[in-house]
Amino acid sequence: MPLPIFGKSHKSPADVVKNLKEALVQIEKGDKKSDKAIEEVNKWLQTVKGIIYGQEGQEPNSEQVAQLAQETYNANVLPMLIKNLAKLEFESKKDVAQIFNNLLRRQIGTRSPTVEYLCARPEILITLVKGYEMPEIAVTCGSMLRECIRHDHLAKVLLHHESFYHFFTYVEVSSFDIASDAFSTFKDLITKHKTICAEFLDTNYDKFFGEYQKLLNSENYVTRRQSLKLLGELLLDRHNFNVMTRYISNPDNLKLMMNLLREKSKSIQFEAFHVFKVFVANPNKPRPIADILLRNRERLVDFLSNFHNDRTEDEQFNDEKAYLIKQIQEMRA
Amino acid sequence: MTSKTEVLGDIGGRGLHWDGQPPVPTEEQANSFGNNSSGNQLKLSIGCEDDEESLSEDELRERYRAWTLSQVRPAPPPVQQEQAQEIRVFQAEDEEFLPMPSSLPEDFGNELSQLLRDNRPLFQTLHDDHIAEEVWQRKPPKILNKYLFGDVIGEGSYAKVKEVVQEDTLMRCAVKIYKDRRIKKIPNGPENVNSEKEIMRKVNHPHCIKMFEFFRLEEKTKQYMVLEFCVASLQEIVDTWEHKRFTPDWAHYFFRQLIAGIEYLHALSIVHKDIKPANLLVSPEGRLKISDFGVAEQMPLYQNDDTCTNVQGTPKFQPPEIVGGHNPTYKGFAVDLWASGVTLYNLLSGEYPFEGDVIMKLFENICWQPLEMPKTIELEEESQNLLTGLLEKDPMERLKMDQVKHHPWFAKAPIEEKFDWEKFVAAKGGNSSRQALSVFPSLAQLYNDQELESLDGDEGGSGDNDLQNPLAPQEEAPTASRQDQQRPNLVDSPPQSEHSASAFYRGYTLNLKWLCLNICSSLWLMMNKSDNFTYLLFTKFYDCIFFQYGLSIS
Repeated sequence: MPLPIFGKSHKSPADVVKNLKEALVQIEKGDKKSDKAIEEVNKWLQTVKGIIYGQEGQEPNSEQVAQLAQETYNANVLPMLIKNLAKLEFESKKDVAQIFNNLLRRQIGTRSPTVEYLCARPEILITLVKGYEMPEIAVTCGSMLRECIRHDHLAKVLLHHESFYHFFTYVEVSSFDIASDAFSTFKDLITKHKTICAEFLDTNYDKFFGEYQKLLNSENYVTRRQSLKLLGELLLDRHNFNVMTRYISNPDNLKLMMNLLREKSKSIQFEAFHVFKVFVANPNKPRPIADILLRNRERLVDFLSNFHNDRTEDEQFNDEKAYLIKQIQEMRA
Repeated sequence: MTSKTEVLGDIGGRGLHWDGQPPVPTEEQANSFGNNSSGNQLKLSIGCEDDEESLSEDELRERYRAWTLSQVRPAPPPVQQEQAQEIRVFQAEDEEFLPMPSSLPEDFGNELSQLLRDNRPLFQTLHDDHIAEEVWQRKPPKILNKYLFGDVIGEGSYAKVKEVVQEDTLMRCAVKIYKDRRIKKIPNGPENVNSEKEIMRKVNHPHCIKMFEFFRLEEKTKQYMVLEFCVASLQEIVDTWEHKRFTPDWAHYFFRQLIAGIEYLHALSIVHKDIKPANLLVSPEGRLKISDFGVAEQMPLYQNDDTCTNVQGTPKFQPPEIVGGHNPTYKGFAVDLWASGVTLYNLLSGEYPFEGDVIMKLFENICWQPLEMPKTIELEEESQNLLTGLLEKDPMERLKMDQVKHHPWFAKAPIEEKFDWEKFVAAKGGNSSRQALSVFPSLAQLYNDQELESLDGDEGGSGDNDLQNPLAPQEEAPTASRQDQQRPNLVDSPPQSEHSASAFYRGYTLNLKWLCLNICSSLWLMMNKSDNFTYLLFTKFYDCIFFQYGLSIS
């Protein structure tokens, strides 16, 4: 039997996983051998990647990949990798994310073994969410989380766990790249799987929008703007019809939008307009909403007539604006 | 550098790799274009890299004409190399005119006979420009609202679709042209065009066609909708496959994308109402794009359900609740799902679930005939099950979006291959019209000629050259359209007194633009690809050069 030229490839997947696990156990112990173990992990992760993605110029061997995946589940390597992620080398962190994401995408017929594996161990997902609290692994965990969210079962687990509400603080952390990464994960969670998200928002309306209101009032310009935009998208999605009707029946929400319309930033004004219009165009405005609009009728008409008049190119906006002005003018007490 | 190459190879999706150097000129090369002899200039004018050291002006003309003609000539089989070759060196002696396809322009015959008149050898150098000019005058490059127009790539009852290239971004697009007169003749025509426009403005999803711009030109009495460029419709593609059907894998691949697109539309309360293979386009990357929102309906935001009243669409793809005609209203979302079921049935088998010689018979069958699985092919059990669910006659019992997405056939892993256009192009008789840029002849006219002129200017030639474009259509020149017809200029024309320098300058900048176009198109042909991304990438590249050298000249 010809010997492989590169030493690494002759290890069987079972051996690779076993070695990887041993090194991880070393790291967990945290004694003085752990430095060595970190290097070991780095090496074995590369080998794993080699099996999954194929060595240079070679297609991956599907049998080996299947074996490797199976061994990974059996040895419970994934939770260990994620738990110790912060201790690994920079490159290793990226490798973990790549391997994790690749395993998640694996499908056998209609089954996704990794998804099933994670469904049975939701604590792995929660560890990933907590990853946002550690700057050195936040973005890596984010990429793994978003990969998880593509699968509706996992998205559901994440939505219904209390750690979901941690996102409201993560999106406001001072480091911009972490905050925006967290925001895109957050957005995926509440928009990706329409029915699940709609159901979630409907049942957890008060708690969710209680928190959301804080984002809209945030000191941070980016948070304010992003959350306002997302709010517009949420309300205009047909799946969230119930949420929308509830939201636009609450006079406090209207007041908030009217204040945001007068923000210094033009972009925020513009985003606020797209939420404000949903209140005004409603043919069956509840009494409290109608009252506010009526009380401010003259001022609103004046304000809207001069609102973003330089947007001459945007036909849609101008049409909508004209429609709103007409609606407000025609309101009767 | 490596990463860039990888990216490009990846777009190509066909494992094209350049080792090392991407075909981008070095600084030195770029520098030499402007201030060098005509030899270099000419080198630029031809589509790809040239081996010959220098070319005479006559040779240039010859190639030039070859280019124009090669566009109407049925192209050879689309082996990439050959295509590239076609641009590079037109082998006049070897060429024969093949029988003309029916789609040729009417005046082509006349042109041809004029060309053949006096037994003039077809592609020999001509010492007067007589014939070439005639061709030019008949088809001057058309630029409207910053779009350079190419060939017609499709036609529907409402509009004609042409290929265009945006002048500044060089992005390849399709433009749907609505003629006022034609629209007015169609019942509900103007309203439908308007609602299509309104809907398109909202739509932004990878599986729905994107509108970039909508404008109206009063002097033309036409409206223009600029859309993402797509290569062909699913109908056209599936027709080229054996038995006019996809393999289950490919049907699955497209069906998943279709459902993703429909889900998005439904989330925006839009009912498409005319889902069928002919309305599903495929982008150069092999991505399905739902198109033609002509009869789509936007439901009011505050309406809790998806009740529609307006009936429009294609009978063969309509569900019983519509064709039965008993119900004043119906559920819009269920209609799209039925139509996607008919589409899937058709993609998998090449047949339709319900047919009829006359429309009443078709309607009757849709309403009453029990669903039968295709006769010409045995479908997998799971896909049969999905079809049964989608083609359920009772709209309340029909599968809902969520159920479709969780159906085992739907949920299986999609095919990993990349969609390969080669088969399609080969089946189209190697007609590469959908692959090569059809605006190319116009570009050749615009930029090639400019170079010659600016050379004249440099030699102290007549001052008119700079101000008047001999090729610009002179017969119809109302002020408004004259503006439109002018060549794309990169820089505002400098003052006349500096005429000679400005001609040089303009020629120079245009050279660079032209160079980049050449790189784009040759790349494109090499990769057998035509995606906007490659385009944009090279636009960026071009911007760099322009910025660097454009400034240094003045």
